[in-house]
Amino acid sequence: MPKEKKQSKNNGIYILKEKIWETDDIVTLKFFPIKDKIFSFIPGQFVNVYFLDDRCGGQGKPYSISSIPSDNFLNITVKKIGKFSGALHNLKIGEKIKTSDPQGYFYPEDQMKDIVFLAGAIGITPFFSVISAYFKQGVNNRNLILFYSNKIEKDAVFFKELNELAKTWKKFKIINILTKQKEKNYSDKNKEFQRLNVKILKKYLKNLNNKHYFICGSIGFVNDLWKELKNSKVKEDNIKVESFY
Amino acid sequence: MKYKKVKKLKGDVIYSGDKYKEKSWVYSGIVKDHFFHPRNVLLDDTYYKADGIGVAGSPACGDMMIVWIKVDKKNQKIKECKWRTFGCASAIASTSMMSVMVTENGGMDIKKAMNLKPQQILERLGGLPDRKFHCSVLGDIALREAVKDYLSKKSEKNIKNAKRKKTIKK
Repeated sequence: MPKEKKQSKNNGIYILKEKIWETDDIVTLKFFPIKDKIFSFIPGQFVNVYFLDDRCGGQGKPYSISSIPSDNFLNITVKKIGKFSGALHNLKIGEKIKTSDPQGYFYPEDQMKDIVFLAGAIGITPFFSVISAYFKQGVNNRNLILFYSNKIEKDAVFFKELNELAKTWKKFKIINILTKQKEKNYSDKNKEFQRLNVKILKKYLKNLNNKHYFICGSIGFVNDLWKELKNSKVKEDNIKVESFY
Repeated sequence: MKYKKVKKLKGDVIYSGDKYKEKSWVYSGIVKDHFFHPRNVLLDDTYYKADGIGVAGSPACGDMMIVWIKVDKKNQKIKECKWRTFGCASAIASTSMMSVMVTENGGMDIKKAMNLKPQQILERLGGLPDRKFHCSVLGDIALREAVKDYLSKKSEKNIKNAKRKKTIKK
């Protein structure tokens, strides 16, 4: 077996400084490195998170980074769904964790100009990092469109921030998909009240070709949209996926 | 072994010839075939000279995958893909299928291999139960790392060659 990669300068140890409750079951954990600076990463990447004790049997779990590289902290946004995420929710301010170096290839490459993000609920986290970073960098040579699917508006993490951003930044557009919202305002142009599907994509994108698609969410969400795009003759190379499980 | 596609249940493709074909949660015939007869496994890598090596998972988590690739330098296609895992039946079957997919028809271009998705592997396998999905991602993560390893070695080699050429000129 090859040698393991060298850890980042700060040994990957981070201390929890703040907990931001996004919804009832989703929290953003704000970590600071105990030594030196935070590692460099590309928005869209993830880290494996480990507890320093054997709270979860020494196992690590991957979490997308929701902060941006110019921040001096590391944010991960966690939905409580199991034992590990539950333990992260219960983490106390001042407690330490260990992370791997950033990993993954779920980010737009230089040549991608028309980018479509398809986010299923907590699958928004890598996109939030990408969109925020591009906005901060003043990127103006890419068109970003986000289809953000949630059951109801109240469930949507970063909903306010993203919708504010869409109002001020011309290069970014957001379509909110609300699958179980009771109060339906059909006159709202950028809202849909059904499951995200290719019909909706066609309605807003007109032409599905020559665009790069990034799908992130639950296994079912990702698999279904991947299949639909493929059946609509979108090139396999133009689709990138990341499933949360 | 050939299977005929007969039915779709919740995204799983079920194949005839499988006595459990009516139940979507069981392994497809192809999964079982690749689990019992895994392709391209490398049990002893002592003398294997790979162009790129990738590792995914961690022994602490229970699942571990290592992938070795050999790349055809002329067309940048994968000509050999070997692997070994400390993983479950689904990890074995999906990585076995992945190794077939990247080497068949003259080999897969490394750029395409970098974007190979678990969904493509599962489609060829005839599906896996959702709860076993995470086992299928190990192989393609390790494959991407192997390609990355190959590319970084290649660029190191290019830099060395360029330096050597400069010194010869002097």
